[in-house]
Amino acid sequence: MQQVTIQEHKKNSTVDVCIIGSGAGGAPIAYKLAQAGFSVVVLEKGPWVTEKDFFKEEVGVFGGHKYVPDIKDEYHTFELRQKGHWKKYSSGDLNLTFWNGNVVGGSSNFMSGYFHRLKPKDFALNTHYPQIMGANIVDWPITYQELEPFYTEVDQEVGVSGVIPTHRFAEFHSQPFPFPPTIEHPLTHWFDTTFNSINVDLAKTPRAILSKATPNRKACEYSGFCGGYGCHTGAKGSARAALLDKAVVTGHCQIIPNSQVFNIETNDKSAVKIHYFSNFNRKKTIEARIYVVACQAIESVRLLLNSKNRFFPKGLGNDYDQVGKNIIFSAGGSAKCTVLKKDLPLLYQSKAHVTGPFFNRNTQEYYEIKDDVLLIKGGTIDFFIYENNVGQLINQTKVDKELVWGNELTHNINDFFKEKVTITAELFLDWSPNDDCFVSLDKNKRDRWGMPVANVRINSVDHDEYLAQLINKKIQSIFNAFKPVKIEFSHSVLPPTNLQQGGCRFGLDPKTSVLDKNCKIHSLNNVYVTDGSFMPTGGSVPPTYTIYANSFRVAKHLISLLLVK
Amino acid sequence: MKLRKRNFLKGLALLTLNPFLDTLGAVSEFYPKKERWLILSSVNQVLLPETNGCPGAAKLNSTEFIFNILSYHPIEQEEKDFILNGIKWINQLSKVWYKKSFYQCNLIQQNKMISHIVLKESGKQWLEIMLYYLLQSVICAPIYGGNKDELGWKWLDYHPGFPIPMAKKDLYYNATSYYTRA
Repeated sequence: MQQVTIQEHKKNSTVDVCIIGSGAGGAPIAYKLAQAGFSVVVLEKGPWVTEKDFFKEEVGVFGGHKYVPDIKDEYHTFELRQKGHWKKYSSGDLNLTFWNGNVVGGSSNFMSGYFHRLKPKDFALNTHYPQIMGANIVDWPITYQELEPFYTEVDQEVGVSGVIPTHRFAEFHSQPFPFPPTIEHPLTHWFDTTFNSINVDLAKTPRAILSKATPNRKACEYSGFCGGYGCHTGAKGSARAALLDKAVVTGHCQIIPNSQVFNIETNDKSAVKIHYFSNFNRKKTIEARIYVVACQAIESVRLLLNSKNRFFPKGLGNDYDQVGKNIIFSAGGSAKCTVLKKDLPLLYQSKAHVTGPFFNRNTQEYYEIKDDVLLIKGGTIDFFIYENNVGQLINQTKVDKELVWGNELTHNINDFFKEKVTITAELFLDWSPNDDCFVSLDKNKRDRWGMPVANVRINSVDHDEYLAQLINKKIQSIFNAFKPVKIEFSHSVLPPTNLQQGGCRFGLDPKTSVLDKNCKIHSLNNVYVTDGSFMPTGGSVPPTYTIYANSFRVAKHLISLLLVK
Repeated sequence: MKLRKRNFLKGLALLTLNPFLDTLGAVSEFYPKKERWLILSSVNQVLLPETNGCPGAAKLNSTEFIFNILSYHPIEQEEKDFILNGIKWINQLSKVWYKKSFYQCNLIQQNKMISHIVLKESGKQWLEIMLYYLLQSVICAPIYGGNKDELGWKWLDYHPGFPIPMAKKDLYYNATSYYTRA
């Protein structure tokens, strides 16, 4: 096979691989294929921002306006069950958006980078745990052992800092993390001691943040305000900083920002071209040998459904009505524990609000828990201390739901900012896939390009709620050891919109899955889906690490495929 | 819930009557637009006074911050209209109660008016929005207009992340052009 550069491709008009979406699902494929000498085009609906565009400024970022489309132009609709009926809303109604950072590199630019692997049993929940009523849980068509080398590849290529956990639920790692842990917040020592006293395993959270510089990227500068913010040094392992920048310098990868793909054109067996709107709404096309869809789960489903044609009248890959089904999220709620600074050991009192170093603590003590006699799947609890921020200032305007201002407000702010420390626990549990949690097209609503928007029906099964309460009790007992003045729990029926998985499950049976084991659509020869959509179950951790790993796995498959062809 | 707020704002944007007043009659008092910022500044100082070590809205330059929000921030027009209408409504209340503009009233009178409107849903929503932006002016990067001389940061011993935007080209209203240029 003759490999071509992007410049040659422009003359030939056909590339080897066209990737739709530049985040964690698309970038590993762009990088590995370009590195192997294949011509790659990546289409990203958002702009190409870089390190120089990122600032740690709350006004621009607070409220989420900066790196997502205007929800007046581009939105989603969703349905929530209310009093036994499905009630429909649009993004504008609840100010809820499933956009999570539409820029080159996608939402990985703004992640916190908590990189937990799934565990071997997460690949076979159906086999290892009791059935959950109302849930469509199936085992994965691959095992942890098959994915492990690709997790290790992520460690190297994206850059993971940390130490391998050693607790009783810890998974096997074939190699240590390539970078030592990031610098830690002074209060972690107090935290470790307290956990030790209650005999609960506490682990250091691996982070996709460089603790040491590499030839291409700077190390973390501990500039504060990491999660939710773009990284000005490139230390955060975003798909852009870690992979796409390297893909571009090979000369084989072209990234086209501000490009909204609206249709994948096919014949009866294969995709033949994609159609997209470029800047100024000009319609363009790209032809490729292989197409990879990685727009984040909900938007990938929308694209497949919007691409219906006479060969695939229900949408691409939707012969058995599986596209969009079993969308899942990582969720479980959060808890906060407020401690008086004066109750901290003297050594730590002046260091409680240090900005920059990371807290990096989690427990997987309850990854499995006993419920009566049954052993059920639990989850991960990540702990952190927020930097003081605007949100916390605004929280001080309410006392028992009553609005306060003036002297009382400034007193509350003083009290919170100067006298207290708040530890936050974020709970990650499996969201059980179920029949009433799916993505479809809204028949009446269209985006600014005239394409039907995605409608997301959101539902969780009773077990998930029950499990969240069960783990919350465990958190309460942990927090009590910190002598708190206040413990609060927060759980919403709305999912965290950034942690999307499912919707295009991979599996062995075309009747119950959209993708095959290599994430190719069963009924098409050359269309792959590699964002979180492929995941039948999510694991009880944030999914980015796994999405990256799977994408490296698919990249290896594609290289071997293209070499043979 | 935000749903309620949004629908509420939509409704309020269409109101011709003053929801801060107890009577249903429309107030025909002339609304001096040029006094808008004086009124807003007075409201800000009631909500965030110079007490308990807080430098207060005046020293923090909070009014300029909110002016910038209204001028440049990509928030919904309904919300901007609501903020401006609220300034008009509280001033009309002041004219009815005290026969003078809000900013000409003393602190006790101003507090009485705030305490009055917070009991009304519309007034509570307006004050919530005012506080939402007012508190942003405490710890924003000074280039946005608030947190003058970093007084908010000094008050709270607040350590901002870095880099912070230092020039106007870095501000949010330019960043949003990413999506309007396509």
